[in-house]
Amino acid sequence: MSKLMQVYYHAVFGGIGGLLGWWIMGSFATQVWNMWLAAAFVGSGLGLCIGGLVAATDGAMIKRAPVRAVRDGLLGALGGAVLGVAGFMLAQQGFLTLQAGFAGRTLSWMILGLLVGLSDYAVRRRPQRASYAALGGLAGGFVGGLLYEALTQLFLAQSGAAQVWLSGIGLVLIGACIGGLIPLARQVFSRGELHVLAGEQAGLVREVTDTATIGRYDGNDLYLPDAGVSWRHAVVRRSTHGFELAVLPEAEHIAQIGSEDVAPGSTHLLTNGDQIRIGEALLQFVGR
Amino acid sequence: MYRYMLLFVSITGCVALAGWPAPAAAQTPPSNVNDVRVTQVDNSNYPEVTLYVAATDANGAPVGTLSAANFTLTEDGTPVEVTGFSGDGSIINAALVLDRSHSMDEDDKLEGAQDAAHAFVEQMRPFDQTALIAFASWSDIVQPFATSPEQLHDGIDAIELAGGTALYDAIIAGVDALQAVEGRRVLLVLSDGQDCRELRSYNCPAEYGSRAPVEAAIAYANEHEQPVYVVGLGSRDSISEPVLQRIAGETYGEYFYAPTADQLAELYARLAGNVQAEYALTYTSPRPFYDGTRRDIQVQVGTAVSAGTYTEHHLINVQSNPLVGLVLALPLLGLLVLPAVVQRRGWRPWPRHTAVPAAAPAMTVPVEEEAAALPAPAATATPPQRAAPAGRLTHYCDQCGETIRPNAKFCGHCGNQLGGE
Repeated sequence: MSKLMQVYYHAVFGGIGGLLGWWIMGSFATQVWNMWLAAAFVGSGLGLCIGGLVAATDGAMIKRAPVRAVRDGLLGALGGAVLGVAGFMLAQQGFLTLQAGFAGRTLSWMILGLLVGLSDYAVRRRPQRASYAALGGLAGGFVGGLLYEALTQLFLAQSGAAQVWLSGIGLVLIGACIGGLIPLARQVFSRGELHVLAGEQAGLVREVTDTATIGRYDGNDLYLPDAGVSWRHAVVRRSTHGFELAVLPEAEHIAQIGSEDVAPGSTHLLTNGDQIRIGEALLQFVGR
Repeated sequence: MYRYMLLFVSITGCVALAGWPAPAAAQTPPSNVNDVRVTQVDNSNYPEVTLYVAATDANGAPVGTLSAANFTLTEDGTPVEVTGFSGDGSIINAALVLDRSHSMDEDDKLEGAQDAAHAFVEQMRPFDQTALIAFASWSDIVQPFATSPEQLHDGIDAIELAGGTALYDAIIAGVDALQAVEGRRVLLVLSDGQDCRELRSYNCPAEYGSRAPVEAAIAYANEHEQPVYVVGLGSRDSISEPVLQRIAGETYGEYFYAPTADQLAELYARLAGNVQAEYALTYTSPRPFYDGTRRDIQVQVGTAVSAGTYTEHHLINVQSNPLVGLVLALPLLGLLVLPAVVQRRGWRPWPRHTAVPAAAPAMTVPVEEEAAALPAPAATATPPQRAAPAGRLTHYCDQCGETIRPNAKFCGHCGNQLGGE
């Protein structure tokens, strides 16, 4: 799957998360609650739905591993719910301080997007990856907030029914922007990519931020369900000399970089364009 | 016959007179209203909004003879109907914030400020309540909100001199104190000097000043829609008048200057009287949505016009409807399946590569148009075409078919002896 399609699916899942959050949270009359209680409640619901759906995208659409999608989704939902409470309360504070308007709306959704992006840490436990996701969430919140405020101004004098549409469409847009920009930020900031040239996942492009694990286990960053690929086979990571491929000691098979074998427990420095054969999968490393 | 005609004409005349819109004196704007000013907008019961409006004559004295019909209100240009009106019955919640820094020792300023506070308390009606906050390097709530004048007088007398001047922190403390009460909220701050945060002199080091800058204090007051009345006491050289004026101006409050403490009591009493003479007008927003937008209000009495504003505070109005949800879900689900549908119809949104046979003698990139789109390797990079020894790529057990390591003597899956190389 191309990078563009990964962004696309994350955006669609983020949009669905925003819609679900709107649907569930909107069934409670939070407008008449205490402002901060309402902010905490709505933030937890939106964080849970957007964070959960965005985290589940990888497993559901890229790895096509339903159990992985559910597991990642639950972890993302948990992280999103916790950070969503803090994010939405901070967002509400920013909104009040800036007296609403475009500045208030965009800054507020940026805070929520940032924290939803950070919930990636609950799924992968990779600080660098989570920080890129947070930056993506920040940018997503900015774009989503701008769109939401534009819609608000467009629907300003409309009826109460229009306000229901406004909040629904607004949250779908915000969810889609946050969802789509999280993988985009990872792609933009990554220093390397692994292109699957042949095998079950042919066509898939995976960014390498700091490390990327490779194997037949669906928890790996690059999931290769091919014959000859071990459960946890190898890892591409950054070293002082650049990226290197390390075949894990527990791997049952070697990897090949060009004509050279990389035995389990050993490493090999990667250069741009290197082709890596792992089992029946053929990868190409593209460094930046 | 004439009697009947006379009776008919009399009845018709009475009905006509009764039905004729009399030139209502109340609707005629009093000619003595020279200025109106929106002093506070209370939207705590949104969509019901209450405006507190001061009307004054040419001499600045309150005009207390107006009725609801004299006021014309608009919100965002839309005329609104006044549903609640009070001429003099609004409960006033006042927070008196007094400077008690050492500089107040000069020229009996502290005594003057205390006298002024006593005068303010004397003006209170039985249902009004006042709180006392004294500040130096820190702020103390000397007396929480109370209606009892005795309690307040005792609290005022208990104020003693202390360290520096943390004016901005004291404003924040005053705004905080007023958050606990509803209705007309008055924040009246008195200071005779500059915040030590700005002054940085030997007598007033920065650590004796506010932690918050003036911008933060103003933003905090505006965030809570709290106007600040500021009184500058003493010679104009000793007080930072532009800062005090800025605080009052940017929070939609008012600035007063008193050169000596003797004038304070009269000022405070006049201010209390002015606030009590304000009108409270309640209306329902014509746009009763929780949309987090700013609303501009205009109040007009005769030719005198004043503007106010408030912000509906919801970042988002989360209000769902199953039908709307379904309508929004359909395109999203469509977008989810769209790539698969498009791909099935022959268009490939992402590159696909045919698998390279495991035992291929050479590891070459499949020659496809998509492969050409990959980033070109750097000049120093190893060329993609490399010869690999045949048979070294993947080895299979000829008994169970599972993959095995090169040079393995036994299959790790079935134990079949392989013989090695």
